[in-house]
Amino acid sequence: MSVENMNNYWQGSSDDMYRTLLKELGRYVYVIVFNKLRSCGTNEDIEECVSDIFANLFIAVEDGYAKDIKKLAGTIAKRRAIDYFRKLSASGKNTVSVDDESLPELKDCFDVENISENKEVRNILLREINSLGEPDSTIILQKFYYNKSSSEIAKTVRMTASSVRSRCTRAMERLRISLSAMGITR
Amino acid sequence: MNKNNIFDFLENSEDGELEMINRLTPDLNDDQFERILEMSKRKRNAMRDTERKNIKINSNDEEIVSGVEVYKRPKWIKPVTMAASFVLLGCGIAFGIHLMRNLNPTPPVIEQGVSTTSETTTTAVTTDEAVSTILVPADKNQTTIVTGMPVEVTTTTVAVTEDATKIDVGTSIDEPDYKAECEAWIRNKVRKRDEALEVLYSITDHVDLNDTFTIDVHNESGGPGDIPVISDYTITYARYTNPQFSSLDEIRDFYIENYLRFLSPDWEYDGSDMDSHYVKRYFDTRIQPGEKIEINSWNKYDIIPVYTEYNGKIYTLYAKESAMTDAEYWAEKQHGIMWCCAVDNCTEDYFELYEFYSNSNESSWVIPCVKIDGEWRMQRDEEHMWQMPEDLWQELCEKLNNGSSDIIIN
Repeated sequence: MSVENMNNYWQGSSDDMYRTLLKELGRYVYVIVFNKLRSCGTNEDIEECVSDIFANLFIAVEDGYAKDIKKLAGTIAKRRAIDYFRKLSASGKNTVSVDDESLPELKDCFDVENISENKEVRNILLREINSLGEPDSTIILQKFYYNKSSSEIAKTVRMTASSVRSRCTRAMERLRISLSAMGITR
Repeated sequence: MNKNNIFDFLENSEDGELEMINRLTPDLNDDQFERILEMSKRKRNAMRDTERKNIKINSNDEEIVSGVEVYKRPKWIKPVTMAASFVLLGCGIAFGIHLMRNLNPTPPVIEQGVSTTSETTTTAVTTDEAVSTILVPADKNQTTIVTGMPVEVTTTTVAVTEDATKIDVGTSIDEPDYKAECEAWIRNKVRKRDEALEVLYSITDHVDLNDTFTIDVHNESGGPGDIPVISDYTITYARYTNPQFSSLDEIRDFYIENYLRFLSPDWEYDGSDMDSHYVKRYFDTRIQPGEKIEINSWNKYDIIPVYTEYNGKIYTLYAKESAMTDAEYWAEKQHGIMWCCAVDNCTEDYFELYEFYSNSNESSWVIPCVKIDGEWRMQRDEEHMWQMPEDLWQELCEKLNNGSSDIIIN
């Protein structure tokens, strides 16, 4: 998305520009932030971070130094998400005093083997989720990745909550079978 | 595979994976959309306000200056600075001179006007075929006769200019008459001192070898606990015939007056110091023929008298078979060292005696001499005398080497 394209979306009002930007890029930014803060932040933390990113994006677009707005939004989102991740993680649970007896036993968190293995599992998982087909892939991601309730998912896929639950159960069973075939048994 | 939920593997996804997740993610719902929009706008406005405040603060600090202010330095600064510098410099120099004058131990003296005198000197010149002519200036009023083989004696007139031999350290207030008087007095003192030393040292003069007696000496050297080194020998005393002295006390008093009191004018023979010990040892110990002297250098009772009295006659130690006497020891020790002196800054009742050795400046002193009740007296004490400055000592040594008549040689 370029500035020229953005000009076609709004009519000259700043509020319109804000709404347009959030409508076009809101999901994209939210996915990036959620992916980073999923394990350490609450929904409020995630929304706070997203609003921070859009506030910066608004100013960047107003001042006219954004050429490719989506790339800019992606870059701001990743960096700001990392900032939030560090801020939220620094609350104590991931820090160890230098006087702690367990300090010498701490391992370097950068484990090449683990990173490579996770990446492989991630690729297989996404491919298998995608292979479930709509709406099962969306339902199962909403259910287990975004931790949303069946009723919340039902609103987005225009189904009843009970239908979502039954489809989710079947989709999960299919996913388990396919992952087991790939050697992923969890 | 240590994740609790297999979907935890989707965290920290990379760009391509995020795109796939994005496709499977529904848009923000309306409540969420409005909430995030409001929050974003509020934050955006806050950031703008902060930005404006910063711009305002920064702009308040800027001051636009235009034009040129011509600075005119006061003209009086340069001359006043120069004058102050000169005053400071002058003060520094004056202070330095003041310090140098105070640090110099030599008392201020007045420079003598240039005067030239001539005198006739009778000189003995000794030549032989292999040696070139040697010119030896002699003392005033003295004629030196040199005997030897082969000898050619000539008489020559040497013009001695006082300026050439003047000791020009500091300023001098010498007046010829005063200087002559002071020199005569010190020459007499030195001559008497030498005679006193000869009494002690020259054990072969004025002896009658037909009147002698011998003394046995038993010597045990070594300290307590040591194995003693024992030696037995005989020493000979011969009659001392110097008509100058009629008793041993006279020799002793002559030695004390002319040698010891030359070195220490207030010295008294009271047994309280080593000089008293030596006087007793040399002149105040009587031994008789047939006596045996037992000496032990460790216990310091090794008294072998240089002079003794027997039957109303004076005898002197003439020879012995071993062990050097103290007289020989000191004579040998002083061999090659030239003791010299000179006078300067002579007035009616004051002059300074320069006393120095030719080999070292360490024992060179400037000794004030004052006339009290018509008698000259050396103030040879630390309160009055002072160490001779190095430059003065060097100049005196040069005068000595040039054969100056101002230098009185021992």
